[in-house]
Amino acid sequence: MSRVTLSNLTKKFGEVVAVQDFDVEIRQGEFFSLLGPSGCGKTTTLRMIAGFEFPTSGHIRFGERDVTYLKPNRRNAGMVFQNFALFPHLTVFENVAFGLKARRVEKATIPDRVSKALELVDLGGLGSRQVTQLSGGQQQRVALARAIVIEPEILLLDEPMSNLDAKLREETRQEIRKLQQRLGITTIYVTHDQEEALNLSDRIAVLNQGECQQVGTPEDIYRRPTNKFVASFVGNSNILSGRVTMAGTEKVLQLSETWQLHVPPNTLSSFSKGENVWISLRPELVQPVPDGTSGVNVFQGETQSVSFSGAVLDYVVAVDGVSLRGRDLLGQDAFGRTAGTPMTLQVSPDQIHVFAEAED
Amino acid sequence: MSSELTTGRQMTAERTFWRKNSGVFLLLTPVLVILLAYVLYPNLQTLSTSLQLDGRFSFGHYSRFFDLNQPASLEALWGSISISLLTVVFSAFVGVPLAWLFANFNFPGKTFFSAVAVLPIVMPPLVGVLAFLFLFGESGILPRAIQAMLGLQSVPFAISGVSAILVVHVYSMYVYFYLFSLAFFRSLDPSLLEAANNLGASRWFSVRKVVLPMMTPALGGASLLVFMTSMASFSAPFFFAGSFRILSLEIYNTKLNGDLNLAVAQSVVLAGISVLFLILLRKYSERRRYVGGGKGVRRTPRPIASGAPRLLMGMLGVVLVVMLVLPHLTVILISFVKNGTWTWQTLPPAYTLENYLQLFQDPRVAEPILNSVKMATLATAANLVFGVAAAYLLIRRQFLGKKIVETLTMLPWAIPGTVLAIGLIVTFNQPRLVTAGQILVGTFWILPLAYFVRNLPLVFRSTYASLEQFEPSLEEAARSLGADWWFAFRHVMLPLIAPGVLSGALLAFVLALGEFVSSILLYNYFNRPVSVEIISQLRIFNLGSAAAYSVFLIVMIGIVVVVSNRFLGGRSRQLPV
Ligand SMILES: Nc1ncnc2c1ncn2[C@@H]1O[C@H](COP(=O)(O)OP(=O)(O)OP(=O)(O)O)[C@@H](O)[C@H]1O
Ligand SMILES: [Mg+2]
Repeated sequence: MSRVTLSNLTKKFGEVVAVQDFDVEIRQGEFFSLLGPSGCGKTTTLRMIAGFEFPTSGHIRFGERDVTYLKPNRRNAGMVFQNFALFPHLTVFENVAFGLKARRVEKATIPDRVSKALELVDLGGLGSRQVTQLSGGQQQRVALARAIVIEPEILLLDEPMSNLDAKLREETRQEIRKLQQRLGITTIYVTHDQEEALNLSDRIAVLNQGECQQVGTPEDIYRRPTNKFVASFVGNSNILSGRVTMAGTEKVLQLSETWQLHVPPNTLSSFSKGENVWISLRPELVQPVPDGTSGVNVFQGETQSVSFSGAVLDYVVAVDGVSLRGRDLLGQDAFGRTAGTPMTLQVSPDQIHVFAEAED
Repeated sequence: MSSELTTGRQMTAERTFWRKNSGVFLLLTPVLVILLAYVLYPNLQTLSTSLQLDGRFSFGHYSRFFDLNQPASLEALWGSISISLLTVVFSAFVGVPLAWLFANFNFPGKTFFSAVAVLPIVMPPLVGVLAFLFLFGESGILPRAIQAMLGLQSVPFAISGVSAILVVHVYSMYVYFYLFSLAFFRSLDPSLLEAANNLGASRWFSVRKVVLPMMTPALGGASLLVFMTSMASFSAPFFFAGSFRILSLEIYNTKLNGDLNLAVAQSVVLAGISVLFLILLRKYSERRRYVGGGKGVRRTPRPIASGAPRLLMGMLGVVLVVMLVLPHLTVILISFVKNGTWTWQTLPPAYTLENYLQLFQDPRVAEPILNSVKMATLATAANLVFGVAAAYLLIRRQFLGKKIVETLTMLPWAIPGTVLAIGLIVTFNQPRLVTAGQILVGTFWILPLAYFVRNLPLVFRSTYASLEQFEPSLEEAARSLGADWWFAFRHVMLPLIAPGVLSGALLAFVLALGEFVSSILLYNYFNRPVSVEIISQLRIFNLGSAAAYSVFLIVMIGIVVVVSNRFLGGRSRQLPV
C-alpha cells in the first residue's frame, strides 16, 4: 500500500507524444481513475507505472522508492488486463498461484492463499476449472484474484469492464470498489467511461491528447471543470460560443443577436466586456417549462427532436438558431412534443461555466 | 561544477539505455553473429571467389560460363529453365483440377484422399527418385510386367532422362498447386459467381472473367514456388539426367572434376535466378488476397449422389491413391529383397529380413543411421535455439536492422542446396575466425552445419508463426506478477508456443535425416549419412539395403507427421476471450 508519484512523466513513440509532463500524486489507499477519450495516453501511463514501458523523461515513485526504470517483476504492482491475459494452459488455481510461485513463496502456504483470494472474488470451488471454460465475468474475477493474491502495493486496472456486458459491468463495478476498500489498496483505474469513473473513484485525472487536464474528486470534475475539454467530456455539456456584453450594469452572456443569458456575477467577474468566450451548459440545466412561464432565462425555442431513454427524456431544441441539448429529468414537459413545435424552456443560471476563447 | 553535472547526467542516460536494451543486445548478438558467419559469409565468399582470378578481380569464370565454344554451363542453364517451366505447367494441370474436385464435391473417402494427396511433399526427394526407378525405370516393375503380359521383346516404356525428371518433379511438386488452389477455392465467395450469373454471365464467361482473374495470385504464387523448387532440384537429375545437362547437377559435376572456380560461377548464376524469383514471389504474395472479407453464404461442397459420377469419382480416387502410395509401397517391397537376387524378373524372386536384421548385427550398416540421427539432432537443436531467439527478437523487440535480420534468416530458403554447399566448401576449406581457426571441410562438423543452415528458415518460420499468435499481454501479466523474464519464458511462453515450434523442429529433423544434396557434396567416410549410403548401396546393386535405408526415412517421416497432427497440431491454445 503506497503512494504513487508521477513527476513530469513524458512518453514519446517516435513523433507521437503519448503522455506529456504528467504530474500527479496518488494517495495511499486511494481509488484513482485515469479518464479520457481513446488514444489520450491512459494505457501508456498505466504501462509505465507497471514497468512495461519506460518513460522518455520524468519519474515514477512508489512511496519514496524511485521505480522509473525498475523491471516490472520487481515493482510489486498487480495488474488486471483489458483482455484479462489469463494463462490458457493453466487452471484457475494455477493462474492465481502463478505469482506466488514466481516469487518463490513457500510452497505450503500457496494453496491456502490461493483459496482465500478465490473466496474474495466469489470463485471458491472453481479452482480446478480450466480458465477457457469460464464466462467473461468469471474470467475477470480470476484476473482480479490473480492480481491481489500477491498482495501488491498498488493495483492497476486497464479498462477491466470493457469485455463485459452492460449488466455485468454494473455489478462488477461495485464489487471491485468494495474489494478495494476492504483491502485498502492504492488503485489506479483506467477507463474512458465517465460514469464508471465518477461512480468509483476517490479522485480522477482527466487526460486529453497526452496532457492532464484536471485532477480532482468526481464532484470537482463534474461541477467545477477547469477547462472547456473537461466540461464537454464529462457530462456531455453543450459548448456554445458567446461574448460578454452589458445589460445595464450587469455583465451577461450574449449567445446570439437576441439571446442573452444571465449568470451569477462572480461567474463573469474575471472576464471583461466584449471578450469572446466558451460557455458550457449541462443538458440537465436546460429544463422545459409550461408555456407562458416568465422569469429570468426563460426562452422560446423550437423542438428539433425528442428521444426517450428510460428515466429521462433527451431532446434538442433550437433557440434563435442555436442548437441546444436538453434533458427533462421529470420526463413530463418534453413528453409528446414533436419536431417543429415550439417549446418554452428555462436555463438555470448556477453551474454555467465560462472559459476564455483563447484557451480552446 | 556544471561539467560534473553533465557527465553525471550522461552516465545515467547511458545506464538507462543499457537497462532498457540489455535484453535485446544479449539475444541479438549471437543471432547476428550466426547469421553473418554461417549464412551471409559463405554466400559472400562464393560471390567473391567467382569474381577472382589469380587473386585479382575478373569476370574470367563468367566468361567461361557463357563461352559458346564450351557450352556445357549454358546448356545446363537452359536445361534447368526448360525443365522447370515444364514442371510448372504439368504440376498445374494435375494440382488445380484436383483441388477443384476436393473443394466442390463430397465423395466417399474424401478425408483419406485429401490426406494422401499431400503425401509426396513429405517424401525425401532421394527416396522418391529411388521408388520411381524401381517402378518405372528400364528394369522397373511396371514396364516389365507389361512386357511379360503382352509377351514383348523389350519393355514397352520406361522413364529416363527428361521424362523421368519431369515425372518425379510433378509427383512431388503438384502439391504446391493443389494447396494454393484449394485455399483459393475454399475461400471463393459463391455469391460472386451468383452475382455474375445474375448479371447474365454464362458459366464459362464468369469462370474466365471472375474466377481466373481472382485466381491469378494463387496460381502465380504456386508457379513461382514450383519453378524455384524445380531449379534447385538435385536428386531427380542426379539419377535420371544422363547426358542431359542441368545446372544444379552441373555444379556438382564441375566440382567433382576439380574445377571449383567454374562451379562457383555456376552457383552464383543459379543462386541469382533463385533470389530473383524469391523477390518476385514476395511481391506477388504482398498483392495477394482478393478473396475473403465477404460474409454471407459459405461455400459448401456438393455431394455427388448419383450413380455414375460417384463411381467415376471413386475410381479416380483409387487411382490417385495408388499412384501416390505406389512409390512408398515399392520401396517397402524392395527393402525385403535379398541383395543381388532381382535381375531380370518382373517381381523380385527372393525375400528376406536380412536387410533389417543387419542394422542391428553389423555396426557398419547401422553407422550411417547413427551418423544421420546424431547430425540431424545437433542441427535441429541449434535450429530450435536460434529460431526461438530470432523469432522472439523480431516479434517482440524493436531494434535497428530488423529487416536485415529477417532477410538473412530467409536467405537459405532462396538459395539452392547445391549453392549453399559450394558456399560452405569455399568458405570452410581453410581456417576461419568464425570456426576458431579450424578447417571444417572434411570434418564431422561441416554436415551438421550444412543441415542447420538449410533448415534455419523452416524452423524460424514455424517459430515465428507460433510466436505471432502469442498474446503479448500474457508475458506482461507474468512479469507484473513477479516473474523474471526467464521464469515467464519457461512457464508461460514456452508451454504455449511449444506445439507449433516442435512440429516445425520435427519436420526439420526428418528433412536433415534425409538431406541429400549438401550431404553428397560435403560428407566424408566417417560421417556418411543415410542418403549417401543409399547411393553407395545402389552402386554395388544392393537394392535391398538401399531400400531398407529408405524405409527408415519413410518411417521416421510417418512418425513425425502422426505426432505433429495428433499431439501438436489442431487446438490453438490462446487467450480464452
Ligand atoms: N507502442 C506504441 N508505439 C507507437 N505509438 C503508440 C504505442 N502505444 C501507444 N501509442 C500511441 O500513443 C497514444 C496513446 O495511446 P494509449 O494506448 O495510451 O491510449 P489510451 O488512452 O489507452 O486509448 P484507448 O482508450 O483507445 O485504449 C496513441 O496515439 C497511440 O497511438
Ligand atoms: Mg488503452
